[in-house]
Amino acid sequence: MNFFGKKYRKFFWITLAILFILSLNFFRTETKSFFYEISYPVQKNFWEAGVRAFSYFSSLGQSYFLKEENRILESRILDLLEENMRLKEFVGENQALRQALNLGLEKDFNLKLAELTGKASQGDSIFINKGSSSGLSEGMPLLSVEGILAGVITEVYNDFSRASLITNEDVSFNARVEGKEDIQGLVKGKGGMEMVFDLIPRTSDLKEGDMVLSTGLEGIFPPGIMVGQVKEIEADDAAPFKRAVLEPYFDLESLEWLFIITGTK
Amino acid sequence: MKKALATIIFSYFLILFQNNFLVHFSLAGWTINLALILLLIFNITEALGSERFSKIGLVFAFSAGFFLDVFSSSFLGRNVLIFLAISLFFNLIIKRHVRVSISKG
Repeated sequence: MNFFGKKYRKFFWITLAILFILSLNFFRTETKSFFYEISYPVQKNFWEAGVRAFSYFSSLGQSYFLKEENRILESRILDLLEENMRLKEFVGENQALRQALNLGLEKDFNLKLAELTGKASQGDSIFINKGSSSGLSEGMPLLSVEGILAGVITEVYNDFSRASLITNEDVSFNARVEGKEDIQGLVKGKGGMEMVFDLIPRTSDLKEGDMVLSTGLEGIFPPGIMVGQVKEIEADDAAPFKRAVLEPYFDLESLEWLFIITGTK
Repeated sequence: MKKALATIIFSYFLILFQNNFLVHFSLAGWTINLALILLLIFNITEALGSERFSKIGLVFAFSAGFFLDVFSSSFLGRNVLIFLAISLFFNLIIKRHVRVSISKG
C-alpha cells in the first residue's frame, strides 16, 4: 500500500490539517482572541442588522396578532370589571357589618344583611335582595346600617322582598320623644319621603329638633330605634292634639345596605 | 487554489452571519444551521457532477467547521471533525450508490 500515492494523498492532507487544528488548542485563547479581534467590526454590523431585522419582522408579526390580542384583552377587561364589582359589593357588605358591630345591634337582635336593589316606581317602597329563602317574612323591620328605622317588609318572595319605608302612607307606629318620656304619639307616613308625628298631647313640650324614637307598642318595631327629627310643629288651638312634621333620619340616596331584624335576643 | 481561498473567506463570513444575524431568528431556541445546509448542498451537487471527491465540499467542511469552533465555546476541531465526517460520508454514499445519467440532446 502506497500511502503517498494519489489516492491517499487527500486523506493525508486532511489528517494533517486536523492534527494542526487540534494542536491549535494549545493556543486556544490566543487563536480565538485573534479571530475575535479581526472579526469585531463585521460581527457588530451583522449583530445590529440582525437586531433591526428582527424588530422589523416582529412588529409585522405583532400587527398580525394585534386584533386577536385586542379581543383577548377586551374580554379580560370585562372579567376584571365584573370581579371589581363583586369586590366592591364585598367591601360595602363588610363596611355595613363593621358599622353594625360598632353600634352593638347584634347584641339585641338577630340580623340579616340585605342589599337594596331598587325603589318601587310608586309609593315609598323598596326592593331588597333577600327573601323567604333567607328566612325573611312579612312584618320584619328594616334598619339602615347606622341603626335607623327604615321600614317594614310587606311582601316576601323567594329571593327578594318588597318593603315599605316608614314614610309610606300605609305605615304607622307608636313613637316617643327622646328625653321626654311623657311625649308620645303616632308616626304616620305621608308618602313622598315625608311623615308626621300625630296625636301628641296638646300640653306637651315638643320642640323643633327633638329626636323621635320608636316605642314598640304596636308590636312591629323594636323600642328605642331612631326614627326622625321634628322639623315643624303644627299647633291648632282648636285641635285636641299637636301634630309635627318629621324628617326621617335615613337617607334613601345613601341607603345601600339594610339590616332586617329577624328576631330579638 | 483560488476556489479554495474563496471558499474559506466565504465560510468565514457565513459563520459570522450565522452567529450574529441568524441568531436573532431562533425558533423555540433553535437557530438555522446555514453552514450545515450549505455543506450538504456543496457536497451533494459536486459529488454528483464529478467522479472525484468533492474538493470544495471538503474545504468548506474544514473551514466552516474551524470558524464555528473559533466562534463557539467548544475546543478547536470539534466541528471540523463533524463537518468532515459528514462531507466524507455523503461523498462515499454518492460515489458508491448513486448514478446520474445526463442525456445530451
